[in-house]
Amino acid sequence: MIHAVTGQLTSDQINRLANWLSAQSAAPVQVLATERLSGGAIQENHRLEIDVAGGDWPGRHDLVLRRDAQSAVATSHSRAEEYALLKAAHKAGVAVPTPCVLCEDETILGGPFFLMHRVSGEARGGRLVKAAPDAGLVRALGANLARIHTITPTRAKTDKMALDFLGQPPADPAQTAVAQYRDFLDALPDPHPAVEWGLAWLADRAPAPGTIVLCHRDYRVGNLMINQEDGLTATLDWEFAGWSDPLEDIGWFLAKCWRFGRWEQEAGGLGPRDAFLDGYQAASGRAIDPAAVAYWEVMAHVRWAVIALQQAWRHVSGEEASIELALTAHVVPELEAEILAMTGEDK
Amino acid sequence: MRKQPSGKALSDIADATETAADPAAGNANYVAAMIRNARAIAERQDLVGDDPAKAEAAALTDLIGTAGSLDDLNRELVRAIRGGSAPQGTHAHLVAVNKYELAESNPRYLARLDGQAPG
Repeated sequence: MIHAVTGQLTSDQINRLANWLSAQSAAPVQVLATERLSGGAIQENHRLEIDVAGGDWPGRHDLVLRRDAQSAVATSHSRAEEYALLKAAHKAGVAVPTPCVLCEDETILGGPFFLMHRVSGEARGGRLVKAAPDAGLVRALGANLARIHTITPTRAKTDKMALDFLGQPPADPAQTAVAQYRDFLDALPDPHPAVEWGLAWLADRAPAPGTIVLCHRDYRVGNLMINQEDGLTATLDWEFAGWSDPLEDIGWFLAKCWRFGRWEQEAGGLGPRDAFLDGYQAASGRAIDPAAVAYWEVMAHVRWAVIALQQAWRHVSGEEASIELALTAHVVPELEAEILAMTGEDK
Repeated sequence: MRKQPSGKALSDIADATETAADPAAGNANYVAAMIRNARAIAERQDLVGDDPAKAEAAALTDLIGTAGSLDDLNRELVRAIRGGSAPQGTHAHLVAVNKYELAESNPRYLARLDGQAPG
């Protein structure tokens, strides 16, 4: 079966949703409009416009409903966990859509979902990088990342952020990542020596463990909602968030593979690297060592290569026939080229 | 070593996607671009045939000092890299193989890396 974009809400689902929202808000709720939003292979987003006649949430609301797509993968967080992350980030002052309500009753839409306020802006990287370089914007993106990183395991407990599902923080994030990616490669049928080369380089140079914070783990252009008037409006897609070294997020954001072809603007294709790091350092008070960032940029390319190979295997194995997954395999040579260029002859 | 799916498998998924595609869908242009890309990669692979695989196997035999299938030789190289005993010349070998693969999967990227195409 070919994977296609489906998943419009049915009229029955919309009726059940309206009834459930009425019970939650203690007032009649009318669903005025729904629309499946583009993007989201793992999760579906639907625009939802509702009118609440009194109760706890009176008035008209422009919302986004987020639920699992058919191709949800086991490695990403559940909707309930993502909702907890969104609430924690909102509390920490991170630019995120305001979370509204979580529903774990699967009789409503066939699976859990949550609602958040709709935020306007553009998230598509290919479009965003066409704008003029914007040092102010990337400085704000750095500061926003620093706010995510104010969430530590200790703060999560103190502030009752309900993030226990993230488990124990890794004692050594770099070596933990190397071991995990080797395990992932071992589960694939083909050998991948160039990615192995990168992993060996990373294992040999793993930094001493330092501060552990909440990392978004997919903080990049493409997951950041930006508009011309307000700049950054939302940090999206928290499904891979976890405890790690803050430099993991910085390396991921700056990695060449996330510049959407605009290589010379090293902060996500949007602006200069220094401005992003300045914004981060000013907001966090944490000095960033460029050599340490370079290490995590290699890690970023290796991680993306491993994920891409896993995605392609979902197609090749017959689990999910998809041209998008199939083509992901052919991004890997680009990532391998960068890994080999950054690591050099001297392993 | 070519990433999978390659060749006919890529053409097949391009054909199946085209058959199932809804031209009125909001992502129709994106789907069409993916179909073109998959076919272009398959065509470039078809053009060079098994030559890259043969060259890679010969280079690996020289590098590792044993003979075997391309898959087995690459597995041996992986074991050596992970075990910290990668032979001298491994990086250069990987770069050469990577250039073959990029020439098939994304020649424009390769040209940019080599400074032969504008950014």
